[in-house]
Amino acid sequence: MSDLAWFLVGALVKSIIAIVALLTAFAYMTLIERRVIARFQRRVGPNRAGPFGVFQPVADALKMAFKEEILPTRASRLVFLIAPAISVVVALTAFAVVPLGGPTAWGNSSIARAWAPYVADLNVGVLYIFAIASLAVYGIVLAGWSSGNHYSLLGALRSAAQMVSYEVSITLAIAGVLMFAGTLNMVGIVQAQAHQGIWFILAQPLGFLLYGIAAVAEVNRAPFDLPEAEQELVAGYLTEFSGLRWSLFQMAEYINMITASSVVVTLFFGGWTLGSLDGVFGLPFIWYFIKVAVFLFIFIWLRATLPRIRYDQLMRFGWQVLLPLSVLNALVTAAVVAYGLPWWVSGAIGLAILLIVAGAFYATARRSQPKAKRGAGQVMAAPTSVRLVADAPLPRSVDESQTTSVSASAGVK
Amino acid sequence: MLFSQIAFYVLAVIAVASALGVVLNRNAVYSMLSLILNLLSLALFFLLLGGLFIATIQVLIYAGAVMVLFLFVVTMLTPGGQAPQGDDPLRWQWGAGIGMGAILVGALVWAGFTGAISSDAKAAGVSSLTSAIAAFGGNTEAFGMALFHGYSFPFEITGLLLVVAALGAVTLGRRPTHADE
Repeated sequence: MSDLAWFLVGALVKSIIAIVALLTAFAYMTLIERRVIARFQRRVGPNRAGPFGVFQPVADALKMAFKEEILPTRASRLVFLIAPAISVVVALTAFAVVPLGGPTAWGNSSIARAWAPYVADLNVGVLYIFAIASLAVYGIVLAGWSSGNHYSLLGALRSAAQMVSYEVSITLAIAGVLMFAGTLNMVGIVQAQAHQGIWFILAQPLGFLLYGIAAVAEVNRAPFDLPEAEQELVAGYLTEFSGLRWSLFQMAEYINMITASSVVVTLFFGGWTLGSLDGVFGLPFIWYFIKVAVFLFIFIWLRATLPRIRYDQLMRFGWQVLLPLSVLNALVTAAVVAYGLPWWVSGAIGLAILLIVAGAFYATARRSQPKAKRGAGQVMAAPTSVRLVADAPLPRSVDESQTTSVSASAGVK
Repeated sequence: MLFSQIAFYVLAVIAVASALGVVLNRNAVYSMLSLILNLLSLALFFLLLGGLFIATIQVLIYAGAVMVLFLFVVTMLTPGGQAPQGDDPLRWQWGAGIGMGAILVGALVWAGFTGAISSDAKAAGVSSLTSAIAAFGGNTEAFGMALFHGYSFPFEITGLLLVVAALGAVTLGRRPTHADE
């Protein structure tokens, strides 16, 4: 067979493996997320189907498959049917350039290189991911519009506004990494980190944080899950979807989460590289998967910890905080790279900016808090309604009026 | 060569069909979707010509950003997917459009058959692209060298123009505040 034919066969087989792996990862991410969130909330979580609930995804899939698929009368039929597919296809396509290992992961022969653990090694890798990810908004907007339901439409439009706003910051936030790496190629960025002997988070702490926040907003996860805010919009663009079509949207969300985590690991945490242990068979993969798993856990952790923010807060934060900081970070990095300064200069400046901004946030949050509630020795206690049974009983000094005022002050912005 | 020829003809059919879809659909959202398909097939044409960077940018900017804003407005104006009913109020546009389309096709055919677009020029374009990519080590690098070493002044002027346009839009769209009154 010719080289081209081998290349096509390789790309096809690797794509199928990637798709199957991503779908399996999605199924188990739903289980892990439910179990982890249950732990956060002092519950047990799904543990009935098989040991530790490992067959729960199978049960869920069967349930979804046998649910009735409802097509609303006012729906725009064709678009309603293809919108979930657009979401999933886009999510899967973006993963194609994510490198799970180096070009010589299986050895140095030409056949081993043809089967390197990524589907494609594009010169414009990072741009490709952002180009494909920017299409993800179509799945959501078309789903909302074609449902013929005002709540769906509002959720979809929110999502469109949110994703377009945060896309600007996300691209500027990684500009610093691209300047240090000098390439857009995903494999090249990892190799640049190995070559310079650092993980780019050390040179780009601010860029990492900005990318992290914007990425959570991009994949519409809590605390940025405004498109499906149930107290305002029922379930947003998902309202009219049921059964398998609904789970396709869930699938897209989790796959986007996995892609975002992989991009963080590749851009800021050195990808699969292990230094002198690179040659050990299989070890770089495990190292890479551990790093991705940590970020997936952080996604779940954020969802369990943070309340959803308001829509105007979301927009103001995106345009007035995130975007100026991304521009500042890009400018500082450009100066450091242009004048040939060592990497720790941009790292130190980034940390300083981070401290100043965090200080400013802390100061405003403190100022807006009522003065009397800041006294030393104040007993903070949750109101009876949210106290857990397992908690220690309330201290005697706290009377009812104090508890209510404490809970009220938490709601003051 | 065969692969790229088959890909070209498939893409050509998709591009023309989606372009027709833009003008023939009565529902604005379906027109938009056709336009997105058309822009994506244009990106694949760039890819066929070896312009990986331009193809990605085409998707990122046009399909991913500009059309999202279009969709944003159009979905708000036509909720529920109902196409407008009744007669077309702008019938004369059909004649004008067909006439101008005929002129465009005629000019392209004339140029193609009389040699105004010679195959030598096309070959020179392809070879200069290939050599530039080889010289600078990649598609992105070649594009960057051309943009910042050959055309950096026009590039900066364009940037300024876009900033002015954005500022103008912000000024026009701003609601009067109490301080203005």
